[in-house]
Amino acid sequence: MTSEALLFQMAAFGLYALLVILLAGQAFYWNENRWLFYLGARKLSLSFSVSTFVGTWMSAASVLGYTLWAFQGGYEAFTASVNGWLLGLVFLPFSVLKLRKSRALSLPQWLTEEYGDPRLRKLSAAALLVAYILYIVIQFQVFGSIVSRMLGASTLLSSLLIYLFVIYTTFGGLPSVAKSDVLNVLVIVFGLTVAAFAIVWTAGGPVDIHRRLAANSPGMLKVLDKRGALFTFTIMLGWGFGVASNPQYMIRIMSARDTKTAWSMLILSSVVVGWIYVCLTFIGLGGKALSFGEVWSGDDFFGVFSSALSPEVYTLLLIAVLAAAVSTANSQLLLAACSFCYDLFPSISGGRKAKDILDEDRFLLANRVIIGAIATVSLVLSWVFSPAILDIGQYSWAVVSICFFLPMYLPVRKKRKGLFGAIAAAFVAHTLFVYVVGLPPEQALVPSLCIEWMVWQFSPGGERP
Amino acid sequence: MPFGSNIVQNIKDYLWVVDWMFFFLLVAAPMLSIFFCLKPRRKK
Repeated sequence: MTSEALLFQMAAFGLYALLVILLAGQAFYWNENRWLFYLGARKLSLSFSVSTFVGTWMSAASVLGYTLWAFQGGYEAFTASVNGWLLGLVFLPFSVLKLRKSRALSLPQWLTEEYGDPRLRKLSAAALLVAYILYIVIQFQVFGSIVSRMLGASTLLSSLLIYLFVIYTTFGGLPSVAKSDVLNVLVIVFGLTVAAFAIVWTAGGPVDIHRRLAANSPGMLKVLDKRGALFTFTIMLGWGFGVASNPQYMIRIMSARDTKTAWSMLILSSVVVGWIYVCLTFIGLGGKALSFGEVWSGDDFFGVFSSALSPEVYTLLLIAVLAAAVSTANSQLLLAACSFCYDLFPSISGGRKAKDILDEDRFLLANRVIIGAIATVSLVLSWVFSPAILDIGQYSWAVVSICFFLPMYLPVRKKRKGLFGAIAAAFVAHTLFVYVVGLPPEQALVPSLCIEWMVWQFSPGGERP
Repeated sequence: MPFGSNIVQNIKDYLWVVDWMFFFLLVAAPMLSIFFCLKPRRKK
């Protein structure tokens, strides 16, 4: 790397850090309460809601993981992951009216108020806590390894960098997460758009990219996995259900100013997310088309991009990945702390007996301590665990879907009783499918949900009035 | 293989176009479901 390129990268990092500090710092209020801290007092405007929805959607793992898969596997990555994730968007609008009616501050609380069983709150909060910690570990790992490779810095230093950004933006609660997400989304959209245009321009246009792929590697234009359509469709459904039942998105429906804002947020966010995926697809496929000998000979993902892109555009891509990692990890960290302090241990954190503003301050201080503790634990785990933890990450989303998908979207008249037993049965079934039958966690989700539905419907208990 | 000579093979080769169409349908899905399924219509 030339000294000029290094200087440019350092200046870009510095500018991004400064803007994050300024934006997130504005969101620290004197009269805070949990209503403001967890849900932004349910007053987030459309622009903040769209930014924080898109920011939390685009993680470093999905930005880099998907692009790398598209680069290596071609269109099967597009079908299974992009269309799989977007399948979740079909369901989300149907949760809006239910969530807007509730006065709950968290999804575990919503679940227990809707179905009248306090055990559901503890079970789902514990599932969320574990799922989010694992996912934050993945964000740290992915970012640490990528940045150390790109910049030549150590993995330890790189993950420490994202740790600091994430802690700082989460300390102010949802208002600070939402404010920093405005910057993050602008950085992600701008960086990826410029990088995609640069790659497509160098490769000679989208049609040329497809021609080159068809000539040199025709297997990349196949949309289905080698193991068949059923394999691809079950993976798609698994990821779609994961998105549809993920509290990261539902909490943004709850925090929007009103129902109309929540609906508009979903409509606009899907367009922005769609555009980002178009860019990522062309970055992945275009990079592959360029790797057939002209710009870079070989199959090295990073080698292609560092050769094909100018240092300025390469830096923009790098900062976009940083912004994607920060914007997802901070919202997950906030929800993990909420699960711990508000849903799992309200008596320890002082959340149950808060009577005045001082008690409320103590409760929010406990939240901030837990935010720091969870982030530190995740950072240490990211150093200790091997990358095989990615497999456990896939397992964690299935667990979240088992807790929330059917209770949120089941179209027939719901029963109040029997849900806890059904969720427990689905957990056991899912574990058996994964560890005994050997199915991937996403594929095991669909049969597990079928078992959950059957146990719920056929267990004794009254119909809902 | 020229387009039209073997229709089944042609469809298989161009399934990625169907993939893109499905993608755009999914991007529009929230708008379609909100306008056609969820939004209360005004009474005349």
